[in-house]
Amino acid sequence: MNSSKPLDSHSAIKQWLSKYGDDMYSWAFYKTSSKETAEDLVQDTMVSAFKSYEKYKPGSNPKTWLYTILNNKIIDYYRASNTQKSVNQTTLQGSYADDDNFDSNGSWNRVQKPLWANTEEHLLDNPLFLKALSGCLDNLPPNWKGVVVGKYFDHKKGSQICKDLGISSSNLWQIAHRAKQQLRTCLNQKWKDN
Amino acid sequence: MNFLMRIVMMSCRQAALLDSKASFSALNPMEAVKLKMHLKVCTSCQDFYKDSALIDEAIEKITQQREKQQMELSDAQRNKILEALK
Ligand SMILES: [Zn+2]
Repeated sequence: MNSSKPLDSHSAIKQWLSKYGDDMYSWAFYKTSSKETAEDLVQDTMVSAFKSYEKYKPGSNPKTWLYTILNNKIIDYYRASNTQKSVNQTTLQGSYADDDNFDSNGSWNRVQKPLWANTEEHLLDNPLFLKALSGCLDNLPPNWKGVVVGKYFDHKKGSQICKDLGISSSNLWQIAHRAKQQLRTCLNQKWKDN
Repeated sequence: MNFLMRIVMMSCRQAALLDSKASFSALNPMEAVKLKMHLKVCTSCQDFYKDSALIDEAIEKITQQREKQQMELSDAQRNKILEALK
């Protein structure tokens, strides 16, 4: 890097931030549901872009380049949530021991009132129901959320989600099930038929 | 019949895991038959299965709504990001 290059890259990044910053922030928020995390991800992306500015091909679409970096940062964020110590490790090791949805015989522990039987009206057209589920989604632990985001937001294949998050396919199925079960329980608490 | 049922039947826990697996990739024929048989006789799993499909659809709707949501970085946030470049 020669001495004039940092200035060039700095003004380029500054320009890109003003041009694409809001879109990147919106995208990161869409993927993480956290303003704080989204801001950190945009910042990390800009810092990476600044540091590896010589890898940017002049004339190519900077937005595409920035989004490639940002998407990798989002994957890293969820992958890291899988290895954090705060995460209950048994969740990831394919053990059923702490799954309190089922008793030792593998039968349902708590039989819940089914959501679908709640009302004659179509739940999917009810904004309050969607709002309740939206809140429940945001409350999932980050390492479960990574699976939900890969599956529903990105429509990725199971094998790709496993690769991104560094988990086995049986972990994937188990986490997806637990997330689903938690959403159902959360909905039963939050959303009651009036 | 009971003996045969016990071989073919599985627990609700296993059924739930197969339901989850099926949402990512096709079940093998044996798994598919086992899940189908379980769902035929188990009302708790039938309820879960239906709710599961309902939640799937609802999440799709939510993602569509959220994708359109436009956010704005404040000047303070922009400055903080630019500071980090130094
Ligand atoms: Zn069952």
